[in-house]
Amino acid sequence: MSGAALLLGALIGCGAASGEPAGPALLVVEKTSLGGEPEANRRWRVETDGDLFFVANRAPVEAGVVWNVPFPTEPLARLDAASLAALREQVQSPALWGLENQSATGVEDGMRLRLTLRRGGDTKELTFDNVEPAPVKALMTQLGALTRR
Amino acid sequence: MSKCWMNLSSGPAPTTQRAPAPVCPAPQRSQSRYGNCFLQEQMSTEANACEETPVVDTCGPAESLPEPTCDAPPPEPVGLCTAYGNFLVWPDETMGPLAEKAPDGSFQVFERQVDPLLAELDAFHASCYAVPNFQPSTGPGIFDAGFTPGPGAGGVMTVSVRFAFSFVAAQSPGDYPTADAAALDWADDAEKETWKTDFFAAVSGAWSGAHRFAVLEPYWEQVQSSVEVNLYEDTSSPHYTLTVQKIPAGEFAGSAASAARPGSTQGSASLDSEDLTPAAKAGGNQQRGAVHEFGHMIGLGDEYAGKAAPRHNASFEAAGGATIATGDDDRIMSGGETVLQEHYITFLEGLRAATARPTWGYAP
Repeated sequence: MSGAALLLGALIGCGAASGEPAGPALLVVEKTSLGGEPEANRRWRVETDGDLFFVANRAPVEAGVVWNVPFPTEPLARLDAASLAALREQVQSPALWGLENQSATGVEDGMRLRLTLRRGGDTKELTFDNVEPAPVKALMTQLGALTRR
Repeated sequence: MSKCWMNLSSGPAPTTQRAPAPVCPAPQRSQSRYGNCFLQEQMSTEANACEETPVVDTCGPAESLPEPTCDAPPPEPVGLCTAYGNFLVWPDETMGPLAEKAPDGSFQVFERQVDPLLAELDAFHASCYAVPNFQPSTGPGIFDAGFTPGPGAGGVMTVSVRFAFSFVAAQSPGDYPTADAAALDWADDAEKETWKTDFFAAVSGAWSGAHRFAVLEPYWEQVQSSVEVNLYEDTSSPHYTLTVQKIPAGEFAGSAASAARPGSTQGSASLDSEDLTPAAKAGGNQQRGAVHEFGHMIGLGDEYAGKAAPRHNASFEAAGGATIATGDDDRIMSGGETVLQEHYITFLEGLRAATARPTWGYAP
């Protein structure tokens, strides 16, 4: 695939775009605006080997575009074994895997959180609109701490 | 040849058979607190000169006035200036009907109508009006609606929204991997107070004075209202609890509003410290997130491209407005800050409710 095609895929895609890392990851998190604030969109990807990728959109974001910045080729961080193990435990926790999609009613604008979890050969996708159940909050707190470390 | 009694001046022969409208000077004698000025004296010196003036033989039916009665003194109107506009008061024996307005814009009424009409207008102007916790027909949303009449078209509608604030640190610090820790929390109370003050000013400035309302019924159209949007801090009975998270300068976080649902007197909203800073939006527009979210708090829906018809569309159509299109443009409920008539629909409903007068509409 050409570089131009890779970039185009990254710019117009929703979720893991063509040309971006798409193999099985331990965790993929996408936060996207449900209102008119796609500048707040950001995503994380944690590979099974502990590479943590992060990218945030850059303002302004043209109409209809979900991601206007591709994942970087270099990870933001490489998690050490202990951190990776702790994150894996969170990602694979029964509490998280037992959740269903949830959406807060009566909320306008706000953010959607989309998780893609991997446990062994299984994957699970969850979507939360303006709501963050406790297991999700715990996961995001942990991921946030790893991102800022 | 019949005689016509409508030539009221000694100048060139009139081309129509219509009494000249009075030119209302500054009130000469006040008959009410609105400064009525009767011009009967002025009119009487100009009228009834028919016998001494050339006969007008084009005595066809007047365009909007009673036909002159020939061979008899015609009815003559009396000019009346009021805070509600200029009136031409026709004797009750005048053959009707009267057009609501003379060509110069003066209202035309029969003598028998004047006192009840002015009494009704006086009574309306003698009160102030308020509906606390008004909830519009558009669904979730709440505000206090008030109206203070003023002389002439100087009435003022007040839209008041009360807030209780909660200032918190960044809720997702991981969204800003490289930001200093200090940028993720409020520095001190002064910073919060500044944000609060700026929030009030930004929202009030964006939403006040964009359009005017008028009572759209005969003889009432001079009763008009401007709109003032006022925000207050009220920790005891807020309309909205507003959580404001601190994020780094130039960054973004998703803001949201959960407007007060019908039957509830309180809603909530989440903003961030950057929501008072204009952000570039699609199509080259600029918008401050706070002024957009306020639109939800007063009962409006989103107008972004890809959204269903906004929830205020039906109410706006019912008020005579056009169907509201969705799209990414400069409207305040899309990506900009332009306040159109459609964005005042819940205010209009509040004004109607506060004054118990359903004939309020957008001023022409």
